[in-house]
Amino acid sequence: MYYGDIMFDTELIEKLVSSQNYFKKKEDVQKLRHKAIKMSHKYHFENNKFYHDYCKLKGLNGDIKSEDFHKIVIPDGVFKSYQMESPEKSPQEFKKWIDRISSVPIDFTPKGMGSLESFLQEFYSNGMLLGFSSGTSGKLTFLPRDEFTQSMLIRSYTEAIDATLKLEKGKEIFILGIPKKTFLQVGFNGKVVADSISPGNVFHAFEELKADIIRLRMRGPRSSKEKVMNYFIKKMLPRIENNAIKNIVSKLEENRGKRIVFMGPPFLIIGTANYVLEHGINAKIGEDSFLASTGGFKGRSIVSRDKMNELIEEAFGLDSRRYIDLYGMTESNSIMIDCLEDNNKHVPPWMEVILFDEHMEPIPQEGKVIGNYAFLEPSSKSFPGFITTGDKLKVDYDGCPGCNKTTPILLSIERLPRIESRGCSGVLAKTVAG
Amino acid sequence: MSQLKGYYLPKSLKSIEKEMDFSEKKVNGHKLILPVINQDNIKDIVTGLKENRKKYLADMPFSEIARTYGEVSRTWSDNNYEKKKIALELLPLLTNLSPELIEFYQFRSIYKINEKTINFLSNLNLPPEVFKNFTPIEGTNTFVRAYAGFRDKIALKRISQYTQELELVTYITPSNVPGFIESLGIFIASIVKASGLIKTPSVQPLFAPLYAESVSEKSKEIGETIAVVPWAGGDQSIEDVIFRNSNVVSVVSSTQTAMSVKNRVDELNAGGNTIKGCYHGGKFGVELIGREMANTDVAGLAAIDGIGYEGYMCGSPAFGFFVEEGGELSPIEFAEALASEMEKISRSIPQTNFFRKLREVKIGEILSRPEFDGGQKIFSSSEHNFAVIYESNFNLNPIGQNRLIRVFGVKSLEDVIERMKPWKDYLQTAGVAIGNNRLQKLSELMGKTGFSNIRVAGTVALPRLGEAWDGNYPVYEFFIPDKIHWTSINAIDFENEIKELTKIKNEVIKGGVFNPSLKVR
Repeated sequence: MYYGDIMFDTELIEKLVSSQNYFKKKEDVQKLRHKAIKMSHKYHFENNKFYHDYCKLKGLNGDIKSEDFHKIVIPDGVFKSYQMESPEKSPQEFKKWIDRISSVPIDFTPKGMGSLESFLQEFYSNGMLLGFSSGTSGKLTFLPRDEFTQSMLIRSYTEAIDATLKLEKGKEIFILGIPKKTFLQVGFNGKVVADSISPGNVFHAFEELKADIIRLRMRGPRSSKEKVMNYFIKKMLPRIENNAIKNIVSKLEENRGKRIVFMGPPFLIIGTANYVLEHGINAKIGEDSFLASTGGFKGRSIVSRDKMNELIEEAFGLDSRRYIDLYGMTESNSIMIDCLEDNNKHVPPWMEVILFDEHMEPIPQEGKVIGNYAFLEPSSKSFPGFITTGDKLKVDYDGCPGCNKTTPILLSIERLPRIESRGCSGVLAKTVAG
Repeated sequence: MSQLKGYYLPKSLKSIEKEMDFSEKKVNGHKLILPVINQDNIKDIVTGLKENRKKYLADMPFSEIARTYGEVSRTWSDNNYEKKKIALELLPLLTNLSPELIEFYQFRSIYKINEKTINFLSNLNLPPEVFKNFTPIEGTNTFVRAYAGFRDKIALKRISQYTQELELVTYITPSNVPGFIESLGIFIASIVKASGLIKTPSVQPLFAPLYAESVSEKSKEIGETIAVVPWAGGDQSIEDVIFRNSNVVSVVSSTQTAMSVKNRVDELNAGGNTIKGCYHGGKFGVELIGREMANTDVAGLAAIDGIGYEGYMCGSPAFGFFVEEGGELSPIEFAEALASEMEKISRSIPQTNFFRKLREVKIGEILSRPEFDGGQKIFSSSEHNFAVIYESNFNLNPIGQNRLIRVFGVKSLEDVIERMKPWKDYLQTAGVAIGNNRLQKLSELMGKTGFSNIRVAGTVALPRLGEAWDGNYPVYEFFIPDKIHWTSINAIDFENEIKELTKIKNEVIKGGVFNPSLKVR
């Protein structure tokens, strides 16, 4: 049942999600963004049963003012509030949950075809991506992205990249330390974005990473069958990681001296660099290449940015300023990318960042402030992209001293202790850890 | 900027301050000075405390101890007392609890630490009938029951008097119930004529030093036997000195902290020490409303229980409010009445935005479940002070904090108690509203299931004289093994008690919590 016929203004969103907005006057972009947030809120209020009830409870309706933005953020726990242990075993119940948190109709009946992976494939084939990430508890977070929202995810990534790296469409060579096929959101994002920029020029270090294996690794085995599986997976994983590193190295050698875009989780970049150096391999890539990492070091020893810079320069011959770190999350369609001038992560102009203080009050958006991070992202059509997170950020609203973008920058990121350690890179790290 | 001490040392031990390092914490224009204790400092403190105990406390008559604490309580009940004003200014900033909530639940519990309480606890001698059934305890309005094997019964008989001399009692205190446990630790140490060493919670190292100073104002001698200091929990260089010198180490904290201290105390005891550990870890509570009491008055008292410490007290009804069908109000009507009472009481005991936001997070997760497409009903607050959710499907999930009140309709309370058995290790308090004729039978079932505190609705967060605590019995727990499970009922006549408590609740709604004539019960 849907409450109304409010339309989602896709033109407005497309105008907002544009690399040009990184450089426009802050006030002008803010006006556009606020208009889009209000439109998006109204759409979700009318079309999302959960969000409608949530807003009503807070005394809000479909029309809000900018001063109300801090009230519309929903907890990230919403996206893992389903009650069943294994969604694929209760397909109808799970769909009911998706129906409740989704803002678009899902007009097919899932059958639940055995594995979790095939269950997610079933949704995907019917136009709904259920990208996931997982907490240490092993309960997967699912974000329902319809085709429009998926297209906005790709657009958000490519526009953010365009504003910073100036990639040549169709000509870039991507080497990705992520699987070719996966519904793990970080892997999915990397693949679809690279495919969209340079179709046919994308190399993956892994073939496939099934959701069932990730869940098993994150939550631990629940049956004797899973115990046996876990035992063998645990034995196999170090070999898989080593093979991935060898594959990447061989691809780097093949493209020696050429411009490439090498992206992966930090632990795999470090593993690759160490392998290259230990084996005396010449894997020096073109000076105009880019290396990008995303996520943290969950479950692995943390390596400092300085040490990373050193390793990257030594192993791949790349200036450390061309090593960029990305910050994103499963719930968001966007990434924050380091600028090349000063290695500062920029908030995309289509995202509103709200920080809350220790008393849970919104902090005024001025100067350098630190607080619990929530974001408003109007480009999500199939779920409300207004979400509180488990991260604590330090943001400088005055922007970057090193480049000409006009958006706020991140000065630091830390996980809040009360929120379980999570994130896609963490999932990958734990999944492939021996 | 005024300076406040985030610690307390007896006057005779002031010289140790010169050897200590300090840090500062700024709170609302005040500077809170916090010591960084090292091993030498703590050695000097515990040695000094033990010496002072011999000099000042070991032979002090109980009447003197009782007079001192009685005067301290009366002083704190004066709204113009300077230390109370400071506490009510700063504790809300440190804990996010509103001043009204701190006054009603914390300070009003402290006012009960008076001559009567101390005389009762210092002459504690429970009759042997407690092993057979819930027995009224002389001098209190309480029934007590003990569940134990044969050997433990004998052990209890042997310690009918406090024959063992205690020199030092250490209390490790929590942050969820700011102030009450610290004051409890200080006065209970005095009752057993031991010096008391209190570890403050890092969230608010303020209240215990203020309270200790108050005690010292009333009795310099007792003041010489108290020390309040912070230290990093788990720092073995400090804790080993403290534990080895303590006869009793009582921890009131998370289960993890309690178990960590227990492990260390067990290790030290295996090495020849004789430290009695008292461990009070994380617990959850429940509210049980009989059909004969499903009425508006009881809904008002249930609201008082739901608001207490924003649901973070170990006895708070985090599992929910279970209402028997067939009463004057149906369970859903009871939920509605509860919401109406919550709105009224929340005006006198407001909630801060911090807890409001935490509730919204949890509500978001609950609302996103498909059940909310039908069968559930939310009674929300027009002023965003709470949310009462009537849930049609029975479930046990301890998420009722931040004034998120979950009401369930049930066929019988006995059935609810039966279904709580898997949670045995985490059970503590039940707020109960039933007719007097059901009290003994239902309490017996609850005691056997693992509950330790059966409290009349409206008193869940307001402990009373003579009650058990966490399956142990205050003061007794210093002397006897933990194998005995103690359960208490905090009122003899539930029906009358509900009438009296309703009068107090109505006074709170009418005149607020700082009304000097508001009764303490």
